[in-house]
Amino acid sequence: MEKTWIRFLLPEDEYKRRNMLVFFAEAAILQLVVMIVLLVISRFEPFPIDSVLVLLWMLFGTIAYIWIRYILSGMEFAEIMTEKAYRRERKVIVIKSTSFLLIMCAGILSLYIFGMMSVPFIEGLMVTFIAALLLFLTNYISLKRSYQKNKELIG
Amino acid sequence: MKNNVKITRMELKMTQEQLSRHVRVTRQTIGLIEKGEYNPTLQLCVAIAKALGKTLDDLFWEVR
Repeated sequence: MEKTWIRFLLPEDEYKRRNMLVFFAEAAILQLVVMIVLLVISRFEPFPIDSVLVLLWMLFGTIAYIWIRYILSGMEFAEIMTEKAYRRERKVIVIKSTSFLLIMCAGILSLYIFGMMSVPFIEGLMVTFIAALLLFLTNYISLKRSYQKNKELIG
Repeated sequence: MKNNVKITRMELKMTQEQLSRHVRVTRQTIGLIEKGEYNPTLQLCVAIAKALGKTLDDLFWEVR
């Protein structure tokens, strides 16, 4: 295991660990480039965007970059090698996403009933639906990529 | 890096899953090593050699 303080963020498996380090490094370099570009722009003309918003976008962008790279790498479902295992895992993903949607809907409904919701009910539902859809899509894409990669490695 | 891991493992009638459990990596990592698509660390090479009862030379040295 590499001697680094980010050990707690790294997986046990060697291949996954190395790739995760690469993704973190790529994200850090991209962040550095964006920061330099923003710094240069801010020297020439008054910055038109709120600095907190810029920081939030950079935070979101960094996390999204690492997340997308991880999903597309096909490393997440490293043990899914057969069609049967793939189908079983796909079912688990559908159940997980549906359960998430139902639990969140129930939570929002109860908050609405007790008058603790500051946003309209339909908005809360839409956010929940988008979150559930994202959860399903990311897991599904990751599973499909993993299965495609693993299929060729069976021996 | 080409290697003899797959041939040796099959000679021992060991599955990828069994080897992966032995050396504490995923089955995907073993598959990638066997295909020569991932170069393992020396630590993992030694673990694989021990699990298969071979030397590093037998598994990784100048495979054609």
